[in-house]
Amino acid sequence: MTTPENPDAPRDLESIVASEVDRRRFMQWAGKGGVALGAMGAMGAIGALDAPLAAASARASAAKPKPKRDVSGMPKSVKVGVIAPFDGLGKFVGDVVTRSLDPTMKHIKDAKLYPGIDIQLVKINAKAEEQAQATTAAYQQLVSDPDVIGILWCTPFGLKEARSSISRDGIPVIGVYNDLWSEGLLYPKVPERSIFQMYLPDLKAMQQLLKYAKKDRGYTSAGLIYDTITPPGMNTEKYFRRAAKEAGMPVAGVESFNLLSADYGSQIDRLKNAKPQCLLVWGLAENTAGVVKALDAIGAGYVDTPTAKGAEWHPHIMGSPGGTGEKKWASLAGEAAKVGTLTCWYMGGFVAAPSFPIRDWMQKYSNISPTGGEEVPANGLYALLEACRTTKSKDRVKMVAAIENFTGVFAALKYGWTAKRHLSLTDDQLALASLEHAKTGPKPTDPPYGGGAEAPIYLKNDPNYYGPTIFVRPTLAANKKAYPATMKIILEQGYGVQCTTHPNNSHGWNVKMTNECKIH
Amino acid sequence: MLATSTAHHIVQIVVYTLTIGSIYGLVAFAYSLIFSTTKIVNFAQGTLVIVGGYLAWDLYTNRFDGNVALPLVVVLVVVLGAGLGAVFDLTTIAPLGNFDPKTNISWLVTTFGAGVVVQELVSKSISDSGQKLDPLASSLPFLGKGKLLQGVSIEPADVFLVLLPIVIVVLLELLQGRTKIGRAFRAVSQDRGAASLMGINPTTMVMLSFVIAGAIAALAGVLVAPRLFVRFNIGLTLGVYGFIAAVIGGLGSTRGAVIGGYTIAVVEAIVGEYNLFHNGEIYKPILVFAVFILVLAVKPTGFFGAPVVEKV
Repeated sequence: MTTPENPDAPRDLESIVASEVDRRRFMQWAGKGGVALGAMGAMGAIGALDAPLAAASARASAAKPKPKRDVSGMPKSVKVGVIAPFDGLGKFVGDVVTRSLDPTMKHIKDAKLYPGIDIQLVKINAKAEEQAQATTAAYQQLVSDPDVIGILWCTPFGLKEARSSISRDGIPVIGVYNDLWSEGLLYPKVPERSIFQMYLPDLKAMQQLLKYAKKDRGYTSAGLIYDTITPPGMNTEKYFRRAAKEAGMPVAGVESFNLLSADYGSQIDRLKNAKPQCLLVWGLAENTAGVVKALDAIGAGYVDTPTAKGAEWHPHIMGSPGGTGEKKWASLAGEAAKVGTLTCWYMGGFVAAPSFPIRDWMQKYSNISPTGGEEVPANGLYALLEACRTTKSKDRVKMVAAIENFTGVFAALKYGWTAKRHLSLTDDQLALASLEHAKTGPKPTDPPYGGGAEAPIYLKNDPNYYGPTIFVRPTLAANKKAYPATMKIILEQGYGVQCTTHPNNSHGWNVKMTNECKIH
Repeated sequence: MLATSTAHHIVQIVVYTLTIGSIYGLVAFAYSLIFSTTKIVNFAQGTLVIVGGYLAWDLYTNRFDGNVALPLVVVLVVVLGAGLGAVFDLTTIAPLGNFDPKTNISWLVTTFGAGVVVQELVSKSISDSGQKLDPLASSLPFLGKGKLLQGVSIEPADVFLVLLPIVIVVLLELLQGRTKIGRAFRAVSQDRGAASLMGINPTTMVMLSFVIAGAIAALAGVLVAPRLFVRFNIGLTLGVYGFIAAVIGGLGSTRGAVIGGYTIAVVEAIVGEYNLFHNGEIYKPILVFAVFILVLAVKPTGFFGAPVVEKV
């Protein structure tokens, strides 16, 4: 494993995290980054770019670093195509891409990662309003240029429709904000071998949440209310039913809304009759806030697990990363946003972490801070350039094979793909996030739970702070395996929400956590 | 039990129709008002509603830091909206000169383009993400708290949303029917040339219609915020639904605007409440457009639109 800052001095990111993450920095990491969930607010009546910006993440074990980077034989001029909505309703996605790639390119140049190589980005605007029509035109333009070594597909639109063309052309395409995996449309399930994904699949998020709901909380039914427009749109119900079946969770009520919905009364009424003990809300932050406000208005807000299982209806709310994972939803919902509301995220997405290089590049070259998702385009770019460097050619077949063998660290944590896994994310990177209020710290419960060491710091900075924070316990074993050094700090210093520990409020690598907590 | 259930359904439908229909109606007013004097459709109307919401949020939350009463902020926002309406007229319609909107559709581009420009300016200078604005009712002690109907999704905040469109209809109809300005509006609407010969300045009347439409849009932005929040991603759709409401009610008719809004909302409410289709949400727009086409087929001028008679 090499690191781009200094090719001759490889560094182990885990050790960097271990040495650099202290209490203050962790607070900035989890808090300032809003758990690093994408700042993807406004999307458009067209639907949908605003899902969370997924990020590449890393697996645990550090590979042996190569002693030196070798750019000899690498083509002297290479271009990387970038398809994104740089204006119009999806401009905020294009903004994230720009915030990511501009400082990254400067870093690549300054750090002399590819000395003597002329690297150009070919950015093509594919307006969200024009959906696949725009991406098709952009793709045709890029693929006809023999100097383009690969494409970063930074829009949710068009990749699905372009699969046959991409298969024919064989050009490496990295889906930055696309979820082909959930639809079963990612290699090796389909023949399009040159397409890779970095986006957190909605199906994986639902699987994780429902597994937790069933096995940890012991809920006996789950409901769903979802946005029919925002991706995954109409596929949401299909994913939900599949995840529920896998978790052995009976389905009680499925309802829908759309982006413009201002009234959820009818849907909430029917869900109330079906009475699911936990309710998945899959939509944007604004609509998610609208749903929980409607729940609160009829006195059905979440209280705790025993109440969620009780005679009255107070479902435990679990949302999409772009909904309840956004700090925005909590500020919009106000008092209707209840402590213990969950979402699924992943450890590698905490881009505001001080040890993540992209944060430093952005501050150094653009004087801005990450808002979430910036590491993904940067990591995609690096993977393509590395494939070109290691194969010493622009040959698309060779590059695809190189990407399948790529594992590295660039903008954030370690990431990569294999010949049998074209999704950069693995299950041991998944983590849950919970809404907590700094004012009260972890909500008092009996028995009490430890964790939340960052709460007093939040409180000091902002007495009314509330937002998502890491919920450590449910994915602890996997995360410990994936990121031992980072998890060691979290466990020893008590960051995130760790729920009930024995003895009470104890911390440390071997701390015993139980699911006695009534909140989550 | 059945009767209780039916009554609950009916209450839900009525509540939905009154609240959501009022949202559509508020947007439709501005379409109708501008159309009545200019015969054009301001395609930035949905955006102007959202801009009104952002202005109110910015003033109330950031500029005044919550230290100025929301009703006063709303008054200021309405004034700013009126000013924005004037700017819209000066930049999108006035430069086109004396044109025939039937044959020269430059207004389509200028109004839509101006909307994009305003949206960009506001998103850059104020915010481009969803924001929360307190309901206007929250500043009134007797309306701010509590529930209006147990088990039904209606809050005190909705009172203004439901009542103000009706107040606006009354005021605008009084303005149009009982005042000189109103008569001038109608004169310009019927024949600009003749109105001009009668001493009415059509340019001024057109600007005045933009000013009033801008003020209504700003007010609408404040009123819809508690339900829809303040966010740009609904502007386009809100504009389209408002336009449909205006056409169904009869372009140029103020009471038609609000009735058109209710019509769309009642269709949506019935689909939603009785869950007529699985995933009924995606069928709502289809049925709304079906009703739109049906109304136009049966009565091309809309419910309250007057047929256009041209003397030859």
